[in-house]
Amino acid sequence: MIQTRPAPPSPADVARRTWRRLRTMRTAIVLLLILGAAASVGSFFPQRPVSVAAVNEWIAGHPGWAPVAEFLGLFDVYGAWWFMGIYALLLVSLVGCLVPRYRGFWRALRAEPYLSASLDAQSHHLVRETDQDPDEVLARAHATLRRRRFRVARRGGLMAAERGSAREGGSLLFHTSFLVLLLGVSIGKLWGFTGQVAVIEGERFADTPIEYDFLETGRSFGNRFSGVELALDEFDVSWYPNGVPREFRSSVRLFDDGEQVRQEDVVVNSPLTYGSLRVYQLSWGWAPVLRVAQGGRVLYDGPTIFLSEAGVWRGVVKVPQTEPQDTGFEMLFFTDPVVETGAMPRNGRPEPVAPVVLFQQYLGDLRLDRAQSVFRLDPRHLSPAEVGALRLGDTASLPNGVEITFSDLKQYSVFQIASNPGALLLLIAAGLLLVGLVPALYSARRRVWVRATAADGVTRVEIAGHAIQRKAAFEAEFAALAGEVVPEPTIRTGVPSG
Amino acid sequence: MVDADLARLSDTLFWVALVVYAASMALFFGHLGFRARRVGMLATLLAWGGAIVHAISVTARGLAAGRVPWGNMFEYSSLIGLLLVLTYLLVIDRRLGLRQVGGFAMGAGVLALASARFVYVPAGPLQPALNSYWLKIHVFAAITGSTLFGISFIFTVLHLMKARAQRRAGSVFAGSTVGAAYVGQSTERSTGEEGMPADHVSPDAPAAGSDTRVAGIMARLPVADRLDGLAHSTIKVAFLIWTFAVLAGAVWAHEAWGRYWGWDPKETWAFVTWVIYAGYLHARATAGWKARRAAVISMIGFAAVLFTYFAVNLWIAGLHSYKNG
Repeated sequence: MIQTRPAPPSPADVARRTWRRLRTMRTAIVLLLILGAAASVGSFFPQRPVSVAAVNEWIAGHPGWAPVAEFLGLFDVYGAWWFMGIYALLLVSLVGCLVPRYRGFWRALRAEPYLSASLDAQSHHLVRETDQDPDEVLARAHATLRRRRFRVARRGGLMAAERGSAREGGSLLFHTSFLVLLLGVSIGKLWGFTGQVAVIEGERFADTPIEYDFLETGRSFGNRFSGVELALDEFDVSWYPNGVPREFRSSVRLFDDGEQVRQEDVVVNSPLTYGSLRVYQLSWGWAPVLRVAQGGRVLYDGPTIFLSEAGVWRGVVKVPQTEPQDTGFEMLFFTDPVVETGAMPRNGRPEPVAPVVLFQQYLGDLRLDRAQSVFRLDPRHLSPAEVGALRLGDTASLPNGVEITFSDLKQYSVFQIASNPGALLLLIAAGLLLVGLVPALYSARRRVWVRATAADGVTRVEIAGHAIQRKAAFEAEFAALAGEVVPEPTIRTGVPSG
Repeated sequence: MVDADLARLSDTLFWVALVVYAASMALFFGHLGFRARRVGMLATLLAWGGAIVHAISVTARGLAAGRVPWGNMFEYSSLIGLLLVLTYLLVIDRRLGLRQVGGFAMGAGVLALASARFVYVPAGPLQPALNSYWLKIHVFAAITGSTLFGISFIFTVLHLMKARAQRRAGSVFAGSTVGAAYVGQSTERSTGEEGMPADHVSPDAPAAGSDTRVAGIMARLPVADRLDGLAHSTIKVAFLIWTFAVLAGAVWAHEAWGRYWGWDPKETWAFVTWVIYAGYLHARATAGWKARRAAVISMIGFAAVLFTYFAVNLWIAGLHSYKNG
């Protein structure tokens, strides 16, 4: 006996089967849940695009797990291959569902309401008798149904009506808007840019790549920087009496090609817009003006950016020109120092009530021939020297004839400057998504039939209908509708079922 | 600036509301357990009283701080409590006539208020990042969405409990469309007490409740299918509002931070929540996914709602963190 073994599925079969499986709702549900689980992972691990420092800290704290986490891309979940893979699959499944549904929707919209149905098989069915002419009844039915925005078709004594295609239309719009959303995201990612820059009061910044402290450009952005210049005339921060900031306000002027094009205040939640460029108030800080001289020769003079670290303002000045060794200063800034014995001073009021710079002088080799942060000293070849405090206007004389002066106090403002050409499309997609969601959730497809036949001098009117969704609401609608078509009392009523 | 008298009034009324809610909850459970109609009416009366006091507290807080009263975690939780109670009173009690759910709804309100006390901060002004009309829109939408997800969770849990009781009693409903078959006549006679108020019985309830074999408190809950349907319709509204809240949040982020989406923990978890409930709605629209499996998804969804709110605010640092007050 010859046994026929099932032939191994050809690659085309496998592909077809996979494709069919990918398009099922069950797959979509599972993919959605997996996407949710995958997205949540990123909230448990520090993300490199958000904070490189936090990632490094985590790696230092978990040396054993770090390589595993690195391999799995847990420090950049939303850019990881497996995350992309999940949403690529979801996207394929979405498109796979949508295409046949578009076709079906298009056909359903153009097709006439279904005329060849058996009326007594519907969930709602009733028969009434009237002495009115069948044509008269059907004309009234037509008017009623049209007023209730049903699509109506008639063949002889039978009228079919249908309503609720907004459900499928809304659902299609809702799902399609995700593709539009993706397009908007891609446009922004490819042609947009985001940069951050700290600008000190009285200084200017030009929109060119070298001037940014942080810059991220889209792959297709190229080098299309506008060259627009921004001058920060004044920065103000105001406080509530309890020390909570009330408002950060940067008074800026914008120059395009040397010509002033904008003069306005940038505050949080109210960015400045110029062309496709938007300037956001991001953060701020103190920039004490410090001067370092040796033997009457000024070696360093200017506002120095202090960063806030855990509530303390820290800054660094590096002066390699001093003789015989380099000089470095690590400094703390206090707006209103409160000194308690045996503890580090802390800030009282956030306003500069009694501004003080505390410094620790270092002597040795700054190693400026190597790349290093402007906000840190490389301590390996430095040894601590003098310690001191400077009030506004004070000068301290240090060994080697070095003098340091705290001559003035300024503030700096940190701006986020961005251009996102996909933003409008994203907004449109968001709008379409919401517009589509309402009928997708709340519209219901329902069908109604009316048949009027003359017999023995009376007209027998059959009214039937059923709803695919929201069956409870249809109950009332059907009753009202029947009442409008034939106001007379019911002779025989079918029992609603299902 | 902060008006100290109004702030004090608000705090006092908050406590009053919490106590009254707790009393109302106890009475509702008494009503459910002993089917005493008067107790149910008293509980409802207390719930209304508590809601009015609570509403005054919330309003006074807003007036005291000179802004909308949902600017920090305490106010957010408090408002969720108020919306839970109002949703129960206006929709579940008045429109649907489901007084049996009262104890659970008031219990949720009590939990919301009690949890608010753990994150209490005195009435105060807003930090600059929150000072935007988007606070009114985005945050209020998030509060409403969370509240309704909470309500849907109550329905889901009751549905699962009732379905289990029905299964145990061997009365599995096949395709039942009409609900409210919870007045078991036999028990009514044996207890000799007043039954549920007439308006609790849906007019089209089958005369002989097919779940008369479900005994005890379970018998007084609506049939499982009805509870499931209620959970489903609540999630539909909540999902719509949540979708809006997430989108409005993205628009606000674009205004305030210059990016619309940054996978900040709050954004991530709001998205995770959204995705889970999207999964739920798809499950409901699919034949073959039984109500029970959908209910499990809905419970996971509510866990995500809680995580989005509590864990992300208090535990995970991010732009939406309220860790520092």
